[in-house]
Amino acid sequence: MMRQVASWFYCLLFAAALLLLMGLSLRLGPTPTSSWDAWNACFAYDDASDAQFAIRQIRLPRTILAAIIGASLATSGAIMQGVTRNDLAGPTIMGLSSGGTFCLLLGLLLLPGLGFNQAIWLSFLGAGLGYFTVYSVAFLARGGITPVRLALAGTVVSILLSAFTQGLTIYFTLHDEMLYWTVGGIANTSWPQVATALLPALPGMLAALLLAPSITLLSLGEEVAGGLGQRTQLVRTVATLSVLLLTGGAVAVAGPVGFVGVMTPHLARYLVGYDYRKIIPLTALLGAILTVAADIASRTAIDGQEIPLGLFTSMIGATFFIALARRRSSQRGGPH
Amino acid sequence: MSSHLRTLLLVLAIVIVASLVSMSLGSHWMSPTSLASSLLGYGHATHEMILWSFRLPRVLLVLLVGWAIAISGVLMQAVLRNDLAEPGILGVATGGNLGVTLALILFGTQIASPWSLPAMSIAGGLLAVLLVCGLAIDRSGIYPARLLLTGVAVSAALGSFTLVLSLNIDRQIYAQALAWATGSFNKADWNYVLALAVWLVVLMPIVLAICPVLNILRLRDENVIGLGLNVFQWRVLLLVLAVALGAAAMAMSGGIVFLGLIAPHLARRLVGPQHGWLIPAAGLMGMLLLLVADTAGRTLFAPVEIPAGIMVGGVGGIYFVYQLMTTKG
Repeated sequence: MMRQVASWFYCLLFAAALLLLMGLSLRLGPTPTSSWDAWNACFAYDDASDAQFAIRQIRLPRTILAAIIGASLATSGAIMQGVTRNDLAGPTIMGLSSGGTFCLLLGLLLLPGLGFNQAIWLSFLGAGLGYFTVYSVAFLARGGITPVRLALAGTVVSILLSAFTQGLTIYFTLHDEMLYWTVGGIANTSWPQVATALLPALPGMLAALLLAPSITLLSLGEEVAGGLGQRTQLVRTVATLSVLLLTGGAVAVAGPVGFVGVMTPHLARYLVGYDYRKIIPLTALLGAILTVAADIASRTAIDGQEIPLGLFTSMIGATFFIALARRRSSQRGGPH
Repeated sequence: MSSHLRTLLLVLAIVIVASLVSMSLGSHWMSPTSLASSLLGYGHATHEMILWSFRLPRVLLVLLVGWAIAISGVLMQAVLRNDLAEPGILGVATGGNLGVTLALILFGTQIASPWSLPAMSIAGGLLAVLLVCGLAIDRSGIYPARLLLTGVAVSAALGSFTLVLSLNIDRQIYAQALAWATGSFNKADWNYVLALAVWLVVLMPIVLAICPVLNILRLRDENVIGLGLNVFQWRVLLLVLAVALGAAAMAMSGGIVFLGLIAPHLARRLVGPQHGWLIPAAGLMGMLLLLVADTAGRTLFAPVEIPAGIMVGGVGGIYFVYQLMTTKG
């Protein structure tokens, strides 16, 4: 019971932190604004005011989008880690991001008037393709799937897909179009994009929450889950669909935002233990906090210059990932 | 004549033929006779100009870079006793790129020359590799998988850091820094060839002199110590040497991933694991692979040029997946 109270407390605490951070994000930017402007822009919008206009049409969609992306990526990482029982799993590592980018590029090539809605479909397709490739490489390897081998396969498939992406980018001189997707940026977000991003994120999140108890069982191991009467194949399928919805949407909107999905589930597990009913909402909150903070940093770190969101998360996330890889392989004794 | 020597000579012959073919290919095709006469100095003036100022230095630079990266891979695999180790993945490319970018920011473009670039690139590459190894080591040694994952993560972080730095610098400097990052030879000229050749002339005798040690280092630690070697000192020395070779080469070409992995593997199939044979064989394989990649990259898709680094990355990635699937562990 004590534990239950504690996890609710964490959720409330981080929800409050997220709201504060989002408020801060509305205030920061080149147009000077007051907190009152921010309040009015949300609840009593007056389009005659410059400050309110900047908040309502530029900063608010952007802030919300950052939160959606962070929550999606983090949740998808948590599901992957639970289902594959692999601490190192995440959208960037498992080939989802690079697969999504690759298919987006193909889309840019084949459908010149590529709109946002088609981009999202392509991104799902690519994320699925990348995930499938990584999984089959690890599966076909001699000795079967181990956590580290899965991570390694993902890494190499990602490098491979990025080489293809780069090659095609150069061949068709699509640098400007691709730069936007490949560094992970959400500059120039507008409301329609937020709506399109929410479309896959909502059912994805819902599926994740409904699956949470089953993932807890599955994370104990296939035999245990099966022995307790769980239809593991069904759970895996739904989990994969949910991961694709969440990651595909985020990649389509923001490009590959690195390492958020690997990092946040660990923080959540550290706080609330191994019950995915608690982990998933907390992970979503933490992921949103992380990306909103990274987005604020990306707008304000250098004056008058936009640093792509993905750069910050990569730098923080890579450090975290190394610590995990250390712990993971020393526990398992390493494959050699 | 031993069979290994015969193999080496055969590969060398293939490399020479491939170089000649590469020199005759391009937007302006040269027939074998006009190529021969231009090389000897009594050909058509235009042909001689194209050959001596563009194609010959480019081919030579590719060969030197391929040789250096492949041997760097052999050294790393021996030192870390891990057949998946290679300079590109362990951070030499991103570290070197960071070194070059930092130097350009701090001192401006006037210090950038074929002579100073390798030094900056080596400093950065060395830092990255030491960081990767330091993070991957613990009391019980280095686990191969952890080493690779750490390399990838450190590369991602350093790459992001470099990009953040370069976003805020002068556009002209940035363009120059970026030129080193893409892995292309289209800026090759005689100065680069000469600079890298000098590095190799200094480093290669050392590498060849310590071949016997390399063979011993692949044994288990207990046995090596039993033979009276200071394992740690040798490892550090060899690692520094490997980075110096790899980073100097990548300062000329930009990041080239997977070459240092594939060339030693193919060479091992040809001549076995003894380093006396393995090192030259790997060097030749590196030359051949990079030459084919560069020639294909600049001719297949003309007028667009695909950097050799990307060509190698595409093919090499597939090979790596194959290795991962077939090697135990």
